[in-house]
Parts: sequence; C-alpha cells; structure tokens
Amino acid sequence: MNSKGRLLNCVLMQVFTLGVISAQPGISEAQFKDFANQAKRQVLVFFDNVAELGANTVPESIREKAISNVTKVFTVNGTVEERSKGAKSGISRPVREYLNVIAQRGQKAPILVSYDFVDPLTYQEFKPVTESDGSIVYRGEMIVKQYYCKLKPKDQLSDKLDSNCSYEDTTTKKVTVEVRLLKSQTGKSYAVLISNIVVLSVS
Amino acid sequence: MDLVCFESLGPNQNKFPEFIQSILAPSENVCSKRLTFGYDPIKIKRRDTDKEIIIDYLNNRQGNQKKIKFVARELRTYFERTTLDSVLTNTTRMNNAFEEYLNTNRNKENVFFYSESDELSDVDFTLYSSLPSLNEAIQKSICIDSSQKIIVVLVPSTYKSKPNIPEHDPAEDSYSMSISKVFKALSDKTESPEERINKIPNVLDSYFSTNATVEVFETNGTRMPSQSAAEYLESLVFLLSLDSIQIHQVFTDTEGKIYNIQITEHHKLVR
Repeated sequence: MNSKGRLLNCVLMQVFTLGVISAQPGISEAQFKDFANQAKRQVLVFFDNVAELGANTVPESIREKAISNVTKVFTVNGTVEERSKGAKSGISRPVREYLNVIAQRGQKAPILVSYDFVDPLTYQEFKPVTESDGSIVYRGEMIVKQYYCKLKPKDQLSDKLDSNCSYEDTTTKKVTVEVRLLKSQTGKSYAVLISNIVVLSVS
Repeated sequence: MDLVCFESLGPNQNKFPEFIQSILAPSENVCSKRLTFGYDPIKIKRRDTDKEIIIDYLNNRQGNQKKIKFVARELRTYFERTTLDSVLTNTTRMNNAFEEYLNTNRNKENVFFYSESDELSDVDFTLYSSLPSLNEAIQKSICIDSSQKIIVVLVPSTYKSKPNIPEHDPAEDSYSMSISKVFKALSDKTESPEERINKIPNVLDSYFSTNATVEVFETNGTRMPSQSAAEYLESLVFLLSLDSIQIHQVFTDTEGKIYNIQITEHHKLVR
C-alpha cells in the first residue's frame, strides 16, 4: 500500500472507531478508559496467580485461594486455551480446569511465567454487543505475550537462568474481555471480566 | 404538575412520547381518589428556550370531574388527539440550562429527576430511571404534603455521568495511613503468600466489621462491583503487580470498625 493509501486507511479507521464510541449512549470516554485499565488489571490477576500456582511454592490450601482469585476475574463460562510449541492446535479448557492443570503440573516440575502487554486494549476498541435478553455488553480484545519455562530438577539448576528450562516457549495470546453494567441497592457498577484467552502463535 | 425539560422532544415527533404520557397520567393509588393536588394544572416547560405549554383542559373541572379515574381517561383522549406544539419540538437554545437548574433544585423534595437512559450512573442527585419507581416516589411525596406542586425534570439525553471519586477527607489521614500499611503488608513480596494469607483473619478482626465491603474505583472514578473485605484481602496476596493502593474514604461503625472502604489500585503493568 502506498503512503496515500495508508493515510486513507488510517483516516477510515479513525472514523470507524470514533463511530463505534459515539454510538454508545451514556458511557463517557473516561469510563471506557477505566474499563480498559480494569481489563489490564484482570489480566494481571490471571498471570500473577498462574505464576504462583505453577511455581509450586505454596501448599494446596493456599493454591485453592489463588484459583478462586482467578475464577472471579473470568465470566462464568470463561475459557483458556493452551498450546505447546510445534503443536497444530491447542486445548481450550474452562478456567478452573486450566488452573488445576497448571497447579498439578507445577507440583511435578515448577514453572516460571512472565508476560507483557503487546497490544493493550484502548478505550476506542470496545464494541457493543446485544445479548439474547436485550442487554448490552461491551467487548474488547488485547494481545499479550507470555513466556513459559518448565524448570529442570533442582540438582540440575545452574546460575545461568537461560539454561534452566527443560521446556520453554513464548505464546502470543488474545484476551477477550467484556463489560457488563450491574445494578444493586448501592447503585450502578461495571463488571469487567475476561471471557476467553486464545493462543495466536507459539515460538 | 410541572414537567420540566431541557431539549427538544424531537423535530420529527408529532405525538407525546409514551413515557411522558405515563408520567403525566395520574395514578389511582394515591392517598385520595380526587385530583385536588399535585397534577392540576399540568405545565410542560422548556427551560432551554424559556417557553411552556399548559394542558389546560383539566382546569375548571368541578366535583366528580376531578376524580383521578376521570382525569386519566380524559388525558388519554387528549394525547390521542393532540399533536405536539412546536414549543416542545423547537431546537435547543441554551445547552447548560440543565446544570444551572440542577444546582438550585437538586435537594428539593417536590422535584423528581427522571431519565430514559439506562446508562447514567454515579450522578450526584436522586435519579429515577424507571417509571414505576418515579410514580411511587411522587405518590409518597403527595401523601406527605398534598398542597405541594410536583415537578418532574427530564434529564437531557446529552447529560453524562460525572466520574465521582469520593473526596479526600483529611480527618481520616492517620487512620487511612494505618489501613494503607495493612494493605501494603499483605502485598509485600518479601514474605511468602502463605505467611501473608495467615495474617488476614487478624486484619479482618482488628479493622473490619463482619460484613465489610471494599469498593474499587478506577482512576477516572468508574465504580467496580463491591466485594467482601475478606475476598479482597485474599486477592491482594497474589497480586504481584500491585504498586500501591490509594484510599479515598473509610466508613466506620460505632465500634470504629470499617464497614466500607473506597479505594483505587495502582499497578505496574509490565513484569
């Protein structure tokens, strides 16, 4: 695409995204920015707790609390996909099942997890979706990278961190979040929850 | 009754919108079956253009003709036959009229703010967003004081909720600092998660009442769902990216225990 084409494309994208935002009555730009922040926070809860679960440094009773923390930031039917390097397809599991797998795997060989937000969700990217009951939820997506390392047995660990993994990969993941208006006796609030995490690529 | 609005009811509208008909129709469940108060006469005022119309066929009715049932039926017929006056459909002249009106009328007991929008939240005045709740509030008010005029204010569709981060109260500083230290200790990574989790029962017992709640506000003031203090404290233990917690407001009971605390979390986004 030449530079004029790119410029036109950029302008059209701006018009489109502005159109999406302005079509959402009653929710301000500041609120959408807050939703985006909260979405990042929920992803941090997911990765931080997964790192603790896989590290196998806490007893089972404490691990159960970590699992409970994570399930609270997912929707009821939330899922997480996992894919190994070289595999053509991944396995998508309900979030609690995925966390149990990570915890059990961590008991056999501890793992390390690190992550980065490659393409964080911005306030312009929420799109309204009408549910079957007529209510409106707002969905958005963000891209994160996760580094995963399965540690070698303790007696084989060296000072060189690079050589301490018996398996390692970096997965690019797409996280979908949804925002739902909740009403209670104390007023209105917004629940920002992860609905699914899918793997885009593994290297 | 006065119905106060701040915008055009729409250039293409030739009948009264359904929700306005519902607001203006008197209900049969009020304290009296006679329409001797509250509704009569009905004026619809455009505060943004300083013009008004009066639904005047109700005036000068006598005796049985003032029974609510009769008036409600007459009003239905009126709405069926009447096309909207241009006073109600002319374009808006003053855009800030609502804010000015709100500033002087937000606390008046005979003034009821209503919005058709389902999305307004965190407004700093009592807002009715459903017709049954509005109707109930009006009736209660009429039953308390039958001599007052009822004013229903239609919140303009352009009005947006203002982010409402609770104000900082300097009197709470020392207590807030103490709570802040407790939060920080629970997320202190130099101790193991197990050690920190084991501190939670003591923290709950010392600082929080039995059903205490934590409300998290995002940086621009959007309110997230409330959660129990116990659940929230447990979530802190594993939140490795948590940088700090800003405390906005602490509500305590007669024993000095917190029953509600309003906070904003700050995170380091990259590990």
